[in-house]
Amino acid sequence: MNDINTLENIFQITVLAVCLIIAVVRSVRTTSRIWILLSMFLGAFFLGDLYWVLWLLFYGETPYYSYIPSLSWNAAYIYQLLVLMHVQRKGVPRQRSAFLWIIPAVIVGLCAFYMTHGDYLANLITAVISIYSIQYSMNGLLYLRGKSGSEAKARPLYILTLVFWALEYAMWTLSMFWMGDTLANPYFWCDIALSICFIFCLPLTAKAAEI
Amino acid sequence: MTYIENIFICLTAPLIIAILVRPGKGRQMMSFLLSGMTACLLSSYISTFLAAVNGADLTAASLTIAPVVEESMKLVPVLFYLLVFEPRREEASGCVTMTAIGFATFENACYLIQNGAAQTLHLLIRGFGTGAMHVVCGIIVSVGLFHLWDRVWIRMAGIIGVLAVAISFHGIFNMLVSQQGAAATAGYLIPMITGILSAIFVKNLL
Repeated sequence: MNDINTLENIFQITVLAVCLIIAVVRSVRTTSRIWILLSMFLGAFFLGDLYWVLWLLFYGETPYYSYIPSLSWNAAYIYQLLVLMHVQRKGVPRQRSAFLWIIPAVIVGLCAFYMTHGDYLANLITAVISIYSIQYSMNGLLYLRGKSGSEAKARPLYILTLVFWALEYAMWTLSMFWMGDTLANPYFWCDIALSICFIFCLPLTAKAAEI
Repeated sequence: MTYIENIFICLTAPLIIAILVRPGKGRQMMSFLLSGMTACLLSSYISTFLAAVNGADLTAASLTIAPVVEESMKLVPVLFYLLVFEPRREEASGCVTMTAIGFATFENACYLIQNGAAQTLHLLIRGFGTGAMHVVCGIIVSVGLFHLWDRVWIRMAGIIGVLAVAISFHGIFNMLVSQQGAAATAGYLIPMITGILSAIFVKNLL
């Protein structure tokens, strides 16, 4: 396994483990659904990463034929979507904006591109979940334009979700073109930024939970 | 060759009689113990079939096929109970655990038949490790399901999510215990430690 790749994977797993412990402690203390959902999101992502890294460690190759990590990551995306739905449980009116239609079109295009290189079903599932997640965040952000007060506390969480998905898609696209195992590969920087996103998940979810 | 059907008959015969004669909550718990053992038997058939179809060897089947099949099969009796009988959360939580215990018991019995019962220390670690892993997967399923047992779409998403998390946990366990030395020891210890921590801290979520 490459050194930078190893370090970067260990960094993400460590970040996820720490965030997971904090989220589980909050879940146990508050028994609040939003914290349980966040714990499941972090837990699913952590387990997917751990399976991937252990496979690399023991067998020296990526688990190409195992769908368990992608199953776990897709579960994490589902929980992220459920967190957003919980934040919007009191109802957010559907907004009218071209952005809400451009995003699915771009994602469908990217999904078709990824399908030419990889698994059909896993890519399709990820695309569907990401469209829902991004549309929920965008719709929430558009609704909160010019608003302040209690409702606006969800705004940073929506922005974080959009950053999260932008980084995920950037990584997947970069990995198709950039194969270098050096720090010059932007894939590693995106993955480190994704790890930092997990750290921000905790305070921003806590803020959104106050609504 | 291991005749797991025969082991199944021997282990479940007393349980079936007890289920028929014993009334109340005991019957319910033993029914789930039996469901867990049945799920294990069916899982072994399905895993063997899928491994043969995909041309997977023992290691590949253990790391990629078995976790998916076993966790899905364990969820079937629990889902049936939740959807048909709509029990209270405390009742359902116990049933998930009993199914997991039934599954682990039958799996350990089959392991003993295949590998012998001479190594006490190894069997002690394996027995507790496998048992703890199945129970921890049950706890993950319980926490996830009972807190997402709300509107239909949340239930659907929740079921898929908890199943995926349980499959990953099981896959990691199988991967670690298939190694030698420290990795295998860590594999057996992780579910035991997680199980103890869950028993202490997570019980108010169940």
